[in-house]
Amino acid sequence: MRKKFLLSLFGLAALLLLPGCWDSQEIEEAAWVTSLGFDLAEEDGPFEVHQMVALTKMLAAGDQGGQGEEDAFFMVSETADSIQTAVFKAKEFLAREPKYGHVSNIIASEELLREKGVSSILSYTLRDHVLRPFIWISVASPNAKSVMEKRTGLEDIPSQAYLGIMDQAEDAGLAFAVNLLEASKRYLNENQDLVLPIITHKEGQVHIDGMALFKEDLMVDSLHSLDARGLSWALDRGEGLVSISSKDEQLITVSFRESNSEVSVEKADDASLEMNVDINLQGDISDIEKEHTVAFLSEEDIPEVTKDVEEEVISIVENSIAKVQKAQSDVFGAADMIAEEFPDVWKKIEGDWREQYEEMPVNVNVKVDLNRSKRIK
Amino acid sequence: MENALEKNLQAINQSFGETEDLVIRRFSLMDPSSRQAAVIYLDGLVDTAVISQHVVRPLILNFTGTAKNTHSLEELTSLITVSETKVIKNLNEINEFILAGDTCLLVEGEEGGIIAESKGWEQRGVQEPIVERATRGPQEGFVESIQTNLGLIRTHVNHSKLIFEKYEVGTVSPNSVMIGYIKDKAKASVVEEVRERLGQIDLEAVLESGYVEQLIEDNPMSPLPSIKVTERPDVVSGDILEGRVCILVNGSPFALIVPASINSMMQSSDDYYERYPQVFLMRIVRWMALFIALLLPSLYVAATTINHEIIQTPLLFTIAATREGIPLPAVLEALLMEVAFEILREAGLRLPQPIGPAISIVGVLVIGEAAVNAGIVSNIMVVIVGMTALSTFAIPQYSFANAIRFLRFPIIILASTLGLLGIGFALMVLLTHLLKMRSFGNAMMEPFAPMSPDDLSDSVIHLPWKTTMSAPWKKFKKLL
Repeated sequence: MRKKFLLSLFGLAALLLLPGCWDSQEIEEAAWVTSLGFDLAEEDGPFEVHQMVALTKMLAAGDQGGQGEEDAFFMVSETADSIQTAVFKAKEFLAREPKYGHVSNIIASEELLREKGVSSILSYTLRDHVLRPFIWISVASPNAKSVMEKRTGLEDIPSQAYLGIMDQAEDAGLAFAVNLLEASKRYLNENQDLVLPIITHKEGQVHIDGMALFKEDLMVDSLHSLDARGLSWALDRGEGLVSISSKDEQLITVSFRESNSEVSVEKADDASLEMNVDINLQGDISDIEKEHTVAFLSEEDIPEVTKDVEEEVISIVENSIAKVQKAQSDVFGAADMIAEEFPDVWKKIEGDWREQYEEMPVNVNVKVDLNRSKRIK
Repeated sequence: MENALEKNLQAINQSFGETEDLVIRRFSLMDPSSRQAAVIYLDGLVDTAVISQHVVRPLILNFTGTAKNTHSLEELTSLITVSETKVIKNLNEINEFILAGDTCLLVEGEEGGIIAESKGWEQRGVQEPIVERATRGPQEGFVESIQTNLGLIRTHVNHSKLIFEKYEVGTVSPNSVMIGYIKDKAKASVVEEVRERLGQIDLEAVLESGYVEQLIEDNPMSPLPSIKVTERPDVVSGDILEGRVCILVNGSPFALIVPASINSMMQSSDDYYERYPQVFLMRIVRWMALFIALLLPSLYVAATTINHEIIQTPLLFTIAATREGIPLPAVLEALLMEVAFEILREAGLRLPQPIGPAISIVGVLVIGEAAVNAGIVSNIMVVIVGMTALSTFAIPQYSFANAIRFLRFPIIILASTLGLLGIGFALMVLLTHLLKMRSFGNAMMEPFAPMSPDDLSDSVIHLPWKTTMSAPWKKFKKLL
């Protein structure tokens, strides 16, 4: 009995040590940070960190909380020579302990990423044990502060809105979300360059506008609208839609339901390397615009339309890849593929790989299947 | 005993401490000897009509045409027209029979007395069970009289091998305790174990089956019960038919059933009367309710004080918003509300019936609306406590539900200090304890551990009878 008692006492003591420094913290006595924004500071810099804090009392349901004109969030901004210091300095302004477990986005300004590179941010986020790996990281244009200050229509707290906006943009095939885990993986894998969505604002509205291209550490270029969609297709990250003008002055719009793609590298006959991008798309004809008519296609038109759509997709993807190549941003991880499949070739071109990549021929093969084309005559 | 009537009467009267309710009625036998006689009984325990009509009256009137001068006690017995008579010569034994509600006839010049069965005290009629309601099935519950209860079981189990054994338990005020089982169906070892444990009870009196339960259970120190308690004859019958043993105590409408298991405590009688879709759903809901009753307040405390990250962000904000301005930490809030609810429940039990509804309305107002408006507790805590309380009542076995209520408090405290880790620790200890627990040789965790696939179909999930062999009388017919 005595032994049993001692044993259970030991168990309890061991248990008390297990949580370590994880102390209890009442939920309403914390300042919940929902977004982190990083800008290039003008002075005391180089980092300016913006923290979006939820004003939870404004979020109460019914007649308890404040409703209407007041914001349900506020911003705390601090500058310092390191991100951690700037984050820490915010404590001076907060009456409650800031908590980072519910941060849902990280937004870094274009300026910062072009000058200091993404490494400055990742070296902080990788070490923080509270930030979740599945939160989104995006590029703010022109800077994080201007984006984060904007109120968003449907959500009280903008960070919640960013998630929805990103979802919708991904659905439309205009951009795709990248989380911290993927960004870190891509970054730490030296031969694969980062690509991040761009978040910006226009006429007071926050929206997603294309993808930022990185060359190693630094942001080098950006792709917008159709170019971004081409990249989404090539990287198998989205569907979206495409419009073609066919004969009889018809504008046919096809929306895609499913896509899959594969990028591969192969040796051509003359021992030079080329990249293949194979894209399969399935979709429907969702709209036909023709002046003063409700136009219908017949069964026989479908193969021709399909061919037109394929050509259109090819030209979009080719354009977008051309820009990616010009930026010398290896978002496809072509270097890895070459090193793996043709190690002898890789050894030869490793030195001036970026230039080789820029000149590399690309074959885009697209197969479109309009298998559910409604309203056929 | 002596053969002088007055001396015997005096002896009996003295052994009863000359109590007022001991009635002695003297009369003369109408035989040629005209001997003095007397009947003795305890007022209130007997049916006086039976005594006057079937004991005294024949002795006064029925001696016509008899040639003998005197009659022995055995001869007099044949004149008494009650169902059961006995001739007893031991004074102590006579006292016991008088205490049990029988009448004793003493005759001048005879050593010994005649015991005539005349039990007939006031008792409650068979009514709807009070604790265990069922939407479908027999609407009768056990009563305080053990004879009536035996009859109720007999009407459900028509089997000649249904056996009841009687034991007298209690050294000062003995009470009848009966064990019932079907011979050859119940495990002999279990029956033997029950007999032995009953024999070991060393108590002055047994007033309720709860006394017996606590004295014969396997784990008296455990918060969890290991004996099933029911007040429904159909439940007892079903269990007897499945080979279990029931224990009835005179004066208690609650029967004990052994061996029990956690699974059996989560079953309700109408589970077997309703069709399977309903039961399939209810079983799952009931098991969910078990975990809600046990863990919901602690999960809330853990999530709001330590493991904030397990809550989805919008929910976190909602909780934070409702807790804004609440002065108490979540754990105190939870304990406060749980204690308030326990007081309300306890008070509700004790309240005199006419003022009950009025007080419960006040209680609801105090606990809910007023506390929230005053800013002492948050809305969400009221939801949690309400949900937990409701879930507790969804557990069919009352004693098991009480155990769960009791366990809730230490888990809340563990959750507030260690978070999810503490809850995990509590569950680990609880599970280890449950796996170790036995009820008369059977594992409490059956059919989960040790696993018995046949019985699993009547546990958390309940399959239609056509697909299972666990229907009690299917097994029973096979045996015959």
